[in-house]
Amino acid sequence: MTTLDVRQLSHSTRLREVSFSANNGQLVGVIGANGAGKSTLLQLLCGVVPADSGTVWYQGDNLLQTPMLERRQLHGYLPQNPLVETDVSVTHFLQAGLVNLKIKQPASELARVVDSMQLEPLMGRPVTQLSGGEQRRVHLARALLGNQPWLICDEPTASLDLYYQLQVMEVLKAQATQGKLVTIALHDLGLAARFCDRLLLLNQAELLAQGTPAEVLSDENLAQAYGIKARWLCTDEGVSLLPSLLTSTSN
Amino acid sequence: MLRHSVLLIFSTLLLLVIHTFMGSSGWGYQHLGDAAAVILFDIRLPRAVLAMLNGIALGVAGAVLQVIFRNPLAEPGITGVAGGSALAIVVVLYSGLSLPISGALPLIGMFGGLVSLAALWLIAGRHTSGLRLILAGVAVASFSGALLSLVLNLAPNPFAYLEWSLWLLGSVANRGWEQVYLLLPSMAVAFALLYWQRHFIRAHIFDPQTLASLGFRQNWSLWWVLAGVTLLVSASVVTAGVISFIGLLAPHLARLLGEHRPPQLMLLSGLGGGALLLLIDAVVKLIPTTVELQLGVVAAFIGAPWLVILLMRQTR
Repeated sequence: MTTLDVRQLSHSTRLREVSFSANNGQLVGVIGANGAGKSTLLQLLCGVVPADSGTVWYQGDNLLQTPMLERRQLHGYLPQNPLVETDVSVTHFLQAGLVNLKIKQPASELARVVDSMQLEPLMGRPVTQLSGGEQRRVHLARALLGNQPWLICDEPTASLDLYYQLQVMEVLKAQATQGKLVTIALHDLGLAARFCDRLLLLNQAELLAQGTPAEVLSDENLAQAYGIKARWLCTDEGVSLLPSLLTSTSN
Repeated sequence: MLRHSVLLIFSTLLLLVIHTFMGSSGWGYQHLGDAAAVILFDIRLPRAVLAMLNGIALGVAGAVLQVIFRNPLAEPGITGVAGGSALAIVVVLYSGLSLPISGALPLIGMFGGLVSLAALWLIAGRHTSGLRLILAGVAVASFSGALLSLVLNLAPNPFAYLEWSLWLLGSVANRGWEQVYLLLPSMAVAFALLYWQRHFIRAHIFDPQTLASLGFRQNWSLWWVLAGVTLLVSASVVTAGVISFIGLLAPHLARLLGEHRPPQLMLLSGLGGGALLLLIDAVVKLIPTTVELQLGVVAAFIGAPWLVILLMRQTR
């Protein structure tokens, strides 16, 4: 049985009739230009925003009719720009993030996540006084609490330096390798090509293409969705993308 | 946190004792003669206890509103909750539907407060974290104030007009144990509601998107929290009139003590509110005026400049 089966999912003008499926053990990247509908799709998947129409079947259950408390046990969610205004410590922040999770040993769950995200040095510091990148890691750690089978992250590498971008992608890849379904929105096509098993390319609120990175990141799709042409650098370590504007006058 | 709580509890109890033994005729009780017991236990003590309980109720209400609206300027008076409660209570008293001391009055005030909050919600929409909430609150408070003035203007006799006007200014003078007994059950129910929803309140340290993904039935929880807050405010309005700014000052007092975690902030804000209102009422008793100043007036004199400072900080 397919783990996730999304059919004709729509939300006003921000997303129109998106259908796709995905399985446990996959890292699924949602890509597209600004305003293409990436965040809206993730918000609809995790129930933060109600869908106008369509269905989201997860392991045989219609999620759009599943109570939020039950959904809390199914997926963790990291929004695009979470802002913390309350001056609490990282420890308190993560402890509060355990709310409504049905886990037997919250302390050991907290320790597991702190360890995997290398947050130990930050634990006593107020969240509001952390750098943007440190805050991002803390937020991702909060989303990882509970060890749910499905992880939904909106631009998890935003505002991170190169070291932590790779670290976060390694963590997410490891989650998928452990058998979870991981759905992330990404702007960095190089990271998407290197780490994701499947890609969904959104363009103007519609799904333009889906499949493996090689299938989706074609010249034609990139030109249509981003207005760019790309050269790919392939090494044993992975791939990297050199973009240039289709309408560029620089050369 | 524990150290600050103990300190605030000790300060509150000390102020309670000082307040009780302090009167217009002097300090202590020996000079009161045979009437000492009556004056101390039937007049001064209920007044002090009422001031303390009102301070606790308003302090907790203010802290909860600031947490759930994510706005350090939110307060029962500014958000129009107190005005809505006062209006509902005056209308019911005016029409003769209820006696001045009735267990139904806090519930009636709660209804008025909830209507005010619903109006606030309609005007401010989702923008509860900025100045828009305050502007919407001013609009709601002004409208309920205008309606209140209209009701007072149509008062059947000048004595009723004067009595209601003085009550609205906020005071705990000339109150007895019956007001305390009216306030306590409402506070108990409200605190039970807030304790029940403590995880939801605590989760407001997260941004709205994250909060929405944490498994709460948000609207359901929010209304129970707001019911608790309006019950606290309306019970305070019934027993002591409209006392503004305590709900604003007390949470900031708790933050000055270094506490930002929502549950702990509520606790310290309640304790701080109790101590603060006892202190202000002691000042009211000390100021040598021909007619005793109203508690709400003195609280506003202290609170209004504080609001201006906070507004200047937020807009900077």
